[in-house]
Amino acid sequence: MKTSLKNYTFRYLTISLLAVLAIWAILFRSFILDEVYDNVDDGLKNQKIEIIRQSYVDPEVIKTNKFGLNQFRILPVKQEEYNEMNRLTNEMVFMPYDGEDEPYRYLRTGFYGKDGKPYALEIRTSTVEEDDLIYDLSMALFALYFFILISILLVNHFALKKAYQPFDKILKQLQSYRFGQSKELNPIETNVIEFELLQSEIASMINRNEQVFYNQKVFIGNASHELQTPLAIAINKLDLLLEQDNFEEKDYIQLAEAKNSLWRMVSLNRSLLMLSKIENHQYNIKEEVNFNQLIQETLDDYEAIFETEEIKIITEFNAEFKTLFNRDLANILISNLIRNAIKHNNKEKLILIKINHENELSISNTSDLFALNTSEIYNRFYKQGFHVESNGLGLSIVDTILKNQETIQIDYQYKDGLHQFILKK
Amino acid sequence: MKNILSIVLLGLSAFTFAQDQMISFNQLPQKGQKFINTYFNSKNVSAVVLDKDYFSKDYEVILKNGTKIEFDGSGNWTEVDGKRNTIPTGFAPDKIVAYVKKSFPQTSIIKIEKNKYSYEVELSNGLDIDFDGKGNFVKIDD
Repeated sequence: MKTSLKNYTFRYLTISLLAVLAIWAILFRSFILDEVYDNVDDGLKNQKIEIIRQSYVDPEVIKTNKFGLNQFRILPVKQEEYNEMNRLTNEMVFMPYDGEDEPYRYLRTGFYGKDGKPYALEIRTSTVEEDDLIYDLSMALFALYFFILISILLVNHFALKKAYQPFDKILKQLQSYRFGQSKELNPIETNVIEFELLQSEIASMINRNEQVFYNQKVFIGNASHELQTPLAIAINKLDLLLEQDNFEEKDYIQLAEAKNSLWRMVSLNRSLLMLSKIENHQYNIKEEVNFNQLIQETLDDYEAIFETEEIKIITEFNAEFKTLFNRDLANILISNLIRNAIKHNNKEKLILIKINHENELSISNTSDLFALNTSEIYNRFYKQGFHVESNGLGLSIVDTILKNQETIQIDYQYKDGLHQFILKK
Repeated sequence: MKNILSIVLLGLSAFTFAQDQMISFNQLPQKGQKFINTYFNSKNVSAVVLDKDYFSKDYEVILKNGTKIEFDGSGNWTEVDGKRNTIPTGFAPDKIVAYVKKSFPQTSIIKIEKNKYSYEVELSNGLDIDFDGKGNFVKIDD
């Protein structure tokens, strides 16, 4: 499960804090109990001295053989059983006050009475209820644990959020960056070494990429440009050859086909050149373009083709589609879309151009193909279907034009058996 | 009684190592002899032993009633052990005797050990008490 960086360390803190507090609790408990028992034991030992002393003064003392009012008893023992060492133990004794067994601390030792005979001495006193102490300690520690965790959460939320602001800003910049934009990234102020480093490295990387991109653009532009001349020369030579009449039928066919291929190369080269120019912002001048008019003009231009191919054109203009655009590019845009509609049509041969309201213009055509892959159709040289004739650049040019001009967007839909390309303002 | 005891001890001493050696009362350093004569009675002495170590010499005097008195190499007393019987306390610091009398009435001293900077006293009730070099009470040893 992915969590924010701020909260990532939290889970480790939770576990390690638990371990630390657990260990601390164990140590603390031992420490406290040691202190408690130390004190109790000192009291017992002191009592021992008092009892022994008193027994030499008052002969009745030595007769105390039951734990009565004074919580001690003296029992005569045999010399073999005599043990002068202090033995301290914890034992449970029934306490009438609580009605249950309570923990007591016992001191067992020995001494010689005034009569010179050995005696065993037992002294006891009530002591801390260890269980209760442990319970209280645990409760207190749980409370401490949660309190600390909540504090950390709050710190994470407020303080860390602020600390990570520069990082968030850098991330946002990255997210909105598009290759080939060549827009300068705004430097972000930060005191954190890592963020500063991240930023500068990203900036460098972007610069390097942009440089590569730029070089590629220049290269394509130059290459296309250079290709024009040799192509023209080749076509020229073929033309000269074709004018001669000492060839056989099949030779003419070969030459004609060679010339066709060369023309296709010329067309391809022109498209590439145009793409290069668009990307180099050589079509920057915009004006108010009325697409209704533009479409009508284009349809007029293509009238001959429509007749030959028997294509049906239906137009539905319910509003005026106008926007700022470069006129030349607008021409190419509409031409390409219509040409696309013509090329990829089927037996029905229907092309539908609709303007429903002033923000939407759609060009639709019938086709044998199923829904196209929206993510791939604008890629260069992606061919829809199996048309060997098409160079696959038509839609790519449309895409580049729209990206460059930025005032219109395109959308693709496959609906009611129609491939629909929708231009939106 | 004295003779039989002497013969037995002499016999025993034949088996002891060079460290423990029976000597006569007169071979005890003068100080020691004086001590015994003052607080005990030389007639009550049943044996005198010389305990020789690599580092030091100790003397032990055993009385007929079992009481053992130890001396260092120069004849200064280091321990008087009554073996559960009361001992005379004339030689002990007054403070010690006074304390025992006050804190443990009716209780007698059965052993006193003299160390370089302290005294250890055992009472007839079994308790051990520590005093400092001047006879001030330090603690009850438990």
